[in-house]
Amino acid sequence: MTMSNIFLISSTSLIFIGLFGVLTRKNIVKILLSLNIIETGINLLLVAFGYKEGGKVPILTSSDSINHLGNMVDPVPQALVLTSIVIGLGTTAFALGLTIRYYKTHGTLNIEANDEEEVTAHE
Amino acid sequence: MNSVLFLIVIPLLGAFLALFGKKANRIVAILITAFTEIFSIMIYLSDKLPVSVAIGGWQAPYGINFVLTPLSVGFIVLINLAAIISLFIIRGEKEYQFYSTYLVLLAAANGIVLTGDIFNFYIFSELTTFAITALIAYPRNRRSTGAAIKYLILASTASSFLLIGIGVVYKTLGTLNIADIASKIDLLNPLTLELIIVLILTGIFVELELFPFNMWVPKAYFAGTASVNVMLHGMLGTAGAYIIARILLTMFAVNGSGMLVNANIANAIIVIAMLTIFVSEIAAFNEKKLKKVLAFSSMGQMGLIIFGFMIGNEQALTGAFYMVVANFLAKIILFVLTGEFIAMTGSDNWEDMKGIGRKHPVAGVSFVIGSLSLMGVPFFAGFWGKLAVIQGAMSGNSFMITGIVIILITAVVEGVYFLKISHTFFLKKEDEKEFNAKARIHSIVIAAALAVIVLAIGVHPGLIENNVNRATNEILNSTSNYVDVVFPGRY
Amino acid sequence: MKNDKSLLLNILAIAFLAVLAYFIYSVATSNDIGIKVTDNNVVENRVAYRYLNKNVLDENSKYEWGGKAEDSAANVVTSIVADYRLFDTSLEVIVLFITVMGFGLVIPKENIKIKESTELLYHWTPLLMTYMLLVGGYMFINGHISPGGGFPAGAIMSTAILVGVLAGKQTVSHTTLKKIEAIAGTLIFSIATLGFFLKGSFFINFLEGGNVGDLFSAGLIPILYTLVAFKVAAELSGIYFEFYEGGEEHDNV
Repeated sequence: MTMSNIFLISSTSLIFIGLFGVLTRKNIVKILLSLNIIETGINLLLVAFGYKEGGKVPILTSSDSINHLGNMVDPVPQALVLTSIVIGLGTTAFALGLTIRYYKTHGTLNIEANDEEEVTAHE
Repeated sequence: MNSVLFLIVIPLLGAFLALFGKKANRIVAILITAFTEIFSIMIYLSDKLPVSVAIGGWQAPYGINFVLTPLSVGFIVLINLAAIISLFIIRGEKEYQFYSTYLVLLAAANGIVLTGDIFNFYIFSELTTFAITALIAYPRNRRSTGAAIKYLILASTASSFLLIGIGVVYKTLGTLNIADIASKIDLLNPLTLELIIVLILTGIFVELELFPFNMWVPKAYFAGTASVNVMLHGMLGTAGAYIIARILLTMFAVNGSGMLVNANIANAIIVIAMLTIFVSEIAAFNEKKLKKVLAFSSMGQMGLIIFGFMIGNEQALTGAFYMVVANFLAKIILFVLTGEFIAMTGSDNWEDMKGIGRKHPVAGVSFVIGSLSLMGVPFFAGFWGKLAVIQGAMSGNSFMITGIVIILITAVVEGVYFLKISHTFFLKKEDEKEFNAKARIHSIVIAAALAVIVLAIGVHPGLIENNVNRATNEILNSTSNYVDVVFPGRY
Repeated sequence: MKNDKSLLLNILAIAFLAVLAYFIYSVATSNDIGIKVTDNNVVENRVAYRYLNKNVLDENSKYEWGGKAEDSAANVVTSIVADYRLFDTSLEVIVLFITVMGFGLVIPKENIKIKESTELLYHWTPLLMTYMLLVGGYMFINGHISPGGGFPAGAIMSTAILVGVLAGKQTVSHTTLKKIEAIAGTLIFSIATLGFFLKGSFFINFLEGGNVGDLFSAGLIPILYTLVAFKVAAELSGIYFEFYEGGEEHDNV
């Protein structure tokens, strides 16, 4: 089994673990944790898609490094991961803010709580 | 045509400046939207289409590009029209967050349609997700918070599939440009292609309001204010229809046929679309809350549009585009008026709205026209769409015939509940209580003007025939047309 | 009864994931012709190859260390993030902007008192903050020649402000942060628009490039990264302030 396959399998398993959490958990905080696990898995998966056996960092440090352009790992997935990390951060921050509000309005963190106004007995 | 980027940049600049504007925000937002609407109409009427715009001076596929075709710019015109209407019917939203978020949504909805790069598409779709979540959550009560967090979790999970799909595309084809992907799709291993389509389709399912992932729709529409409803329907829903045409029928199409490259998946989508139509119309029949009725009907119409797109022959495609326009106009009428009616009676329930049609005959008649068009009654705009989709499905196999049966049955169901609702409006009010608020004249004028357009298209479909045919022809040969715009001479 | 339901849900979820896993397995082991997802990565067939060789504009051009290139950032990831795909990055800034604004919108406004900090933290804070700001500043200035860039630099700088908040020191006010955020955001998009008026294309790197590996190289990238860093720092710091800044909540149901 090559290094590349290990990366692929481990990141896919992370995504599966996260998906299982999102599908089965009822607590919003746990769902958000699972979402974060999915995001981590995706970031690893994307980096693994650019991985190269014995590859170098795609940063030029000296005149010598230009001769090794062919040995460098693919820089594009890394750029994509940078974006996806920021989007993941935004999702988490926004969702946690909403969760605080949800706890205040619903009195529970259960995602299946009724949204209708009539049952507002907790406040 | 580089100036098309103003459609994105100006709303975003406005979004930053809205942090300081206090009372001027609404005026500024209206001015910006008016600018984008006029600018997009000018582009649509100019003879420079189709054209590909490289951003940052880097040519496709190395840089990000915008692709302006008659189809995409036509959708931009519709989206901005809905945007400006949604601003006019705002009732009391004062905080800067509302306008800032709205302007980001406007930029993102424009970008989602114009972009020619799949990763850029992902970012724009995330932006719409966040903006819509913030707009739904804006009232900050129990209902809106619940709807917002459910939508955010569902949309984020779905879009993570989209990101995996994009990663697999890059891994296999080494490019992120939609035209580049479309021209190289034949090189892929069939099973890998299936994986990519499934992943990307899952990613856009939430926005398409399709069956297993659409439980957010009634909640979101019910929680949002009237103007947010118009944004959800007119901007997000219209962009959704465009996404089907562009992602499914261009990126993954058999060249020259307007069909999805994988027949199994196309059939699966048709089944899902039929289920969507069926489930949503039955749910709407049993619903007492007017906004939820409209939300369910919105899902049903979306299913119908997807059904038309997936059949893929010329008639069905024409029908689908007619449906897009008719549904766009008719549903905006209904949402605008629903907002007014709810404010007047103080109740979400359509059974409490007796006598409204007698007090405001223009509004009542506009509502009836909108609902007749949604039912597909002859001489209303929706009729031509449904007719053409059914004709298109006739030429298909027995499988399609099932679809026709479902469409006809649900049209009857739709007719019953819309007539029940419209009838209630013209009943005599039982108690002598005055309405809580007055109807605003400009909302009724907007609704009436749209109703006149719906009638005009219904009587004389030639009004938009040229535009619809332009779009249909583009989709029929979508891959070669699209690739030719970005990479001249590759096909 | 409740347990039965959740057990059923778990079984259904596992079944769904098993189907998905089998599908992925069959894709990975498929023997049909065509490009497969399990093929080895060949950078030469991807757009990345031209980015590495910096020859997007002219296919035959070559570059050297210390010489000129179409994009003279020595960090190739930076040259993709902040030049070739700058449009994506500027939208990323908007993603952060709108999510933080949404956070401020939905979070309940309550007056939360911060515990008084310990003596130790209070007196060491200025030193800690200086170091953090220095590291953050180094990162965005050098984002184009070494690992780093605007986003991590902004995150580090906002940590400095967090330390200040925890120590109870008055550093910046929430209004100042809002202003920094809006000004930096406006400047990023103004520079993008300026490119249109100067060179006819939005988001173009219109400054003279400089030499590969120099501190003053890569044209606009250091400037943009500075703006991004300030914007990210202001936005993330805004989150801390949202938590304990009380205030009137507008009710508009």
